[in-house]
Amino acid sequence: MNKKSNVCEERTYESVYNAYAEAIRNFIYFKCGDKAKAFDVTQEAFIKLWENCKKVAPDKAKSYLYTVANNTFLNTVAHKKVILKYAEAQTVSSRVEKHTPQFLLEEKEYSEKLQNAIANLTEIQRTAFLLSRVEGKKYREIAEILNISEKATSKRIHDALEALRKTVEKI
Amino acid sequence: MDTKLLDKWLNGTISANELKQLETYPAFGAYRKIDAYTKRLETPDFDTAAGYQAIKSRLKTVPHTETKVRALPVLLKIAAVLIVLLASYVYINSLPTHIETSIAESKTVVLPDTSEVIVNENSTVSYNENKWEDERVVNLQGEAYFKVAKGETFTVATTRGTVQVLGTQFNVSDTGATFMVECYEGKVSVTHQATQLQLSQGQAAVLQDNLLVRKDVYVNKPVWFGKESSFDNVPIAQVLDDLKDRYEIVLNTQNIDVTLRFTGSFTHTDLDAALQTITIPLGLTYTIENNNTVTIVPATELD
Repeated sequence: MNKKSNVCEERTYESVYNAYAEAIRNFIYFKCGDKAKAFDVTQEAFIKLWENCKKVAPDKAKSYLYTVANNTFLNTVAHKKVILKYAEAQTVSSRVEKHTPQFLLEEKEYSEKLQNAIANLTEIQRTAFLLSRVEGKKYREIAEILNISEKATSKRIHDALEALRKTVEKI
Repeated sequence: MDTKLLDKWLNGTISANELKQLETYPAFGAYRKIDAYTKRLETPDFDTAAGYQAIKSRLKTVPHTETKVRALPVLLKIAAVLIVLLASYVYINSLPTHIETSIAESKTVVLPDTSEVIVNENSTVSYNENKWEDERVVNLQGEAYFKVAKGETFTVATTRGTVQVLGTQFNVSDTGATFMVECYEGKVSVTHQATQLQLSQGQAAVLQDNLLVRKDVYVNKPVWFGKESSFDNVPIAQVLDDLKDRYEIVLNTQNIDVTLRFTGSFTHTDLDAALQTITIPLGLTYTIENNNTVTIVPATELD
């Protein structure tokens, strides 16, 4: 029997945690908007992985974690409004001449509208969209996480973009 | 909008030329702005180290679930194979023995207690060899002659009735419209629905209008039993001798060529038919007088 690196070994387990814990927390956070719950779901998923480490090969750990986290989420978490905060130091435009009070006000208004629009997306659109735009994940990876095809991933993100555009331009 | 280009842009694999093309779409400006603002969104802080410390303290209390796949010990494997073999052996053995005859065929079957069954054409006989010690039962469809060895009761089950006997010889016919039992030796008991009939030697039971009726039997073998005589290139005199014996007739011959040889068979049940099968191929003809005097002459002489 092939005794390769096993998730039951603490060192392997820790590296798996370091690699995926935050991404999984974000994945659940995108779905429910509850930071504390997302963290709990993530920790539970890792405990499950430890319990079943003999059955889960290391290269399957990632998709196992996503699946378990998603199932736990569906079972337990009540949905909240997903309001993501902006990084404070950054602005969209770094050009000095645009930093007029007028411009800053407009930017603030737009940001708030977008935040609300994102919160109002359907859960499946928002998750795919944020995995792509905030996490910077490629279609292939998103498709794997959500257990859908790349074509479906593409569709969800396009729909999300179009829904956001309509909401933002309307107001 | 070109969705393929949009996909490329979203996946970050778009070329400068393709981007220019995409920029010609009016909605793309809005998309770009949404994208730029969305990218600045932050997910909540995540302290991986603290998270791992929290989980590490819990790990010791969580047992690994064992995978339950265990190899069977070799002895157990052998035992499993033997059990399967034994089970199939027992099953196959419990199946009844089945004998079937087609048209114009008869078979002789010796039962486990040396009883003999001669199965007439188009009939089926089945019995269970394993249970034979407990109950001697033969299932019959069609017609068969039984010569039963002495012992416990012997039962012949048919669709219309059962026949129970001690050591004896009898014929059971359950074909077409007839259900008939002829007893040649010993005693048999025939049951049809509620009626029961005891037959002793030389008696028969026949089902008529759904009732068993007793009749007499004058033969000591069933009629179908060896009901033909077969010959292969045999002198005519020998064939005629056999015919004489079979039908108990007085036979006269005139001007018959004694070197004639006969190949074929004649029936024991119909004198006219038997005579025809013998005479016509040999260019002979016959006359029957007083029911039992037969004269055979060459066909040319009568003309």
